[in-house]
Amino acid sequence: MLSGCSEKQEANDTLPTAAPETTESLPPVGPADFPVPDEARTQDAAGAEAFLKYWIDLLNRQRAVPAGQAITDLGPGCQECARIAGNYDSAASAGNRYEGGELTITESVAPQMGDGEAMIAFVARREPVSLVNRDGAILEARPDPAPALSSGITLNWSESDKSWLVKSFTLG
Amino acid sequence: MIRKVARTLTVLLLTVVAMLADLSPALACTFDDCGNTNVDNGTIDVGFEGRGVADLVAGSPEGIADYIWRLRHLCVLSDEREGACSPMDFRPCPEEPGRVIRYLVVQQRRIVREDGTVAPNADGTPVDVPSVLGPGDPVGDWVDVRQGCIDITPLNPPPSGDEVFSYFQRLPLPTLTTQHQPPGNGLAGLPVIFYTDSPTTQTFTVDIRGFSVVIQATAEQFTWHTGDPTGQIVTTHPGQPYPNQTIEHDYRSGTYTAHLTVTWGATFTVNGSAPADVPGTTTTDGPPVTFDVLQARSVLTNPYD
Repeated sequence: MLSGCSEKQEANDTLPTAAPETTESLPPVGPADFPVPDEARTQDAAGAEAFLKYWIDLLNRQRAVPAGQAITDLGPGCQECARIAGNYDSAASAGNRYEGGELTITESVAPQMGDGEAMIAFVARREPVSLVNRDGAILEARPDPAPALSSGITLNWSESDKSWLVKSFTLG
Repeated sequence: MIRKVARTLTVLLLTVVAMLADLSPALACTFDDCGNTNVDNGTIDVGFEGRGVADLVAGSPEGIADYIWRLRHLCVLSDEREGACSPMDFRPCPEEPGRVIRYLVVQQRRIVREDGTVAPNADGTPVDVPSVLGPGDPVGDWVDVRQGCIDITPLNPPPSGDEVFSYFQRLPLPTLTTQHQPPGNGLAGLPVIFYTDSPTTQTFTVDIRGFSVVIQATAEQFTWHTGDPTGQIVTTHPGQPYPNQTIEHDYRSGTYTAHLTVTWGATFTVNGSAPADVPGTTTTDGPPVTFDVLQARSVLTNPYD
C-alpha cells in the first residue's frame, strides 16, 4: 500500500555542506601501546618539547620492563640511547630488573631550532635506583637521588616518520 | 702478497677484539646516568677528556673557557650503536716515531660562564641556560665538532695493543733448538723423534713512553720443518724425548736438515694492570740441524767371532 507524506515538509534553501576533511593519518611511531603522541609530531619547537617529555616517559616505561628495543628504534643513531637500551636488554636476559630510577624533567629551556634539528638543554631528577636479580637481591645501587642532572637532547626530524628521532642524548 | 694481506686482516681483527676487550669495563655502567664514566678511564681505545684535551683541540682560550671537550674513538660509537666495532672504525693515520696519532672524534659541551651565560650559537644568537645551573656546570648535549687524525702524544696515553704489538715484533725472542733422536744418524724405518727443550715462555719488561709494559711471550705453535718432501709437522706442544715422544717422522735414507719455527703469542700489562692479549703473533726460526738417515742392511755374522 502506498502512503503519502502525512506532514508538510519545507524545502531546504541552503546547499549541503561538504563532509569535514579527514586528517592524514600519521604513520605509527613508537611502541604500539605507547606511541609517540600527535603533539610531538610537529616540526616545531612545541613538537620537540613534547617529544622530549615523551622520551623521558618512554625511558621510565622501558626501564620498568626492562626492554631496550623501543629506545633504539627512536634513537637509531644515538650512542647513549644504545648504551641505555643495551643495559635494559642485558638486565632482561639475565633475569634482572630495575627498581626506581624514574626520571622527571625539572626544567627545560626553549629548543634551539636548526635545519631539521632541535636541541634542548634540560635538567632532570633521577630517583634512587637499584638493579636487582630475580631473587630480589640488589646487585648494584645508587641509593641517593640525583636532583639536578644537567642534560641535553638533540633531535632530528624524520620526514618519512613524520616524527622527531633522537640523534644524541646526554643525561647528567 | 695474499699472505701479507691475510696477515694484515688477521692483525686488524685481533686488534678489534682487543679493543672490544678494553671496552668492556669502560661500558660497564648499568644505569641511565653515568656521567662520563664511559670515557674517563684513560684507555686510549675508549677516549679522553679533561683539561689536556681542551688544550689539545679547543684552539683558543675562549674554546677552553666555554666548553668541555672529549675525544672518542670511532669504535666506541659503533660499539654502542651496533654492538661491535667495524673495520671502518680503524682509519689509518700517519705513523711518526715517538708520536701517538689516532683517528678520533672531537666532541664539545657548553659550560656555564661566570656571568651565567654560555657560548652563543655560531650565528651569534644567545643560548638559554636552565636557571638551576651555575658557573662551570655543563649545559645541554655533547656535540660532534670534527673527526680526524689527532696527535695525542701530549695526553700521554697508555700504550695501546697495537703499540705493544709493534714492540713485541722486535723483541729478541728465543730461537728454539730442534732436538732429534736417535742422536747422530737415524735409521730408515725407525721414526726420528723431534722435540725441543728450549724455554717456551719468556718475560720482557719494556719502557714504552715512560710506561712499564711487561710482555709475557708464550710459544703457541711449533712448525717442524722436516727437510724432506713431506714438508712440515705442526703441533701446539714442544714434544718430548724417548720414551714419551709425541712427534715422530719417518724418513727415507739420505741427508736432511730440519729446523723449528715457533709462533709466539703474548699478553701484556701496563704499570701492573690486568693482563690483555697482544693483538698479533710473531715467529722465530730455530737453528737448523743436519743428520743422516742410513739404510740398515742385514749382515750374516758368526756369533762365535
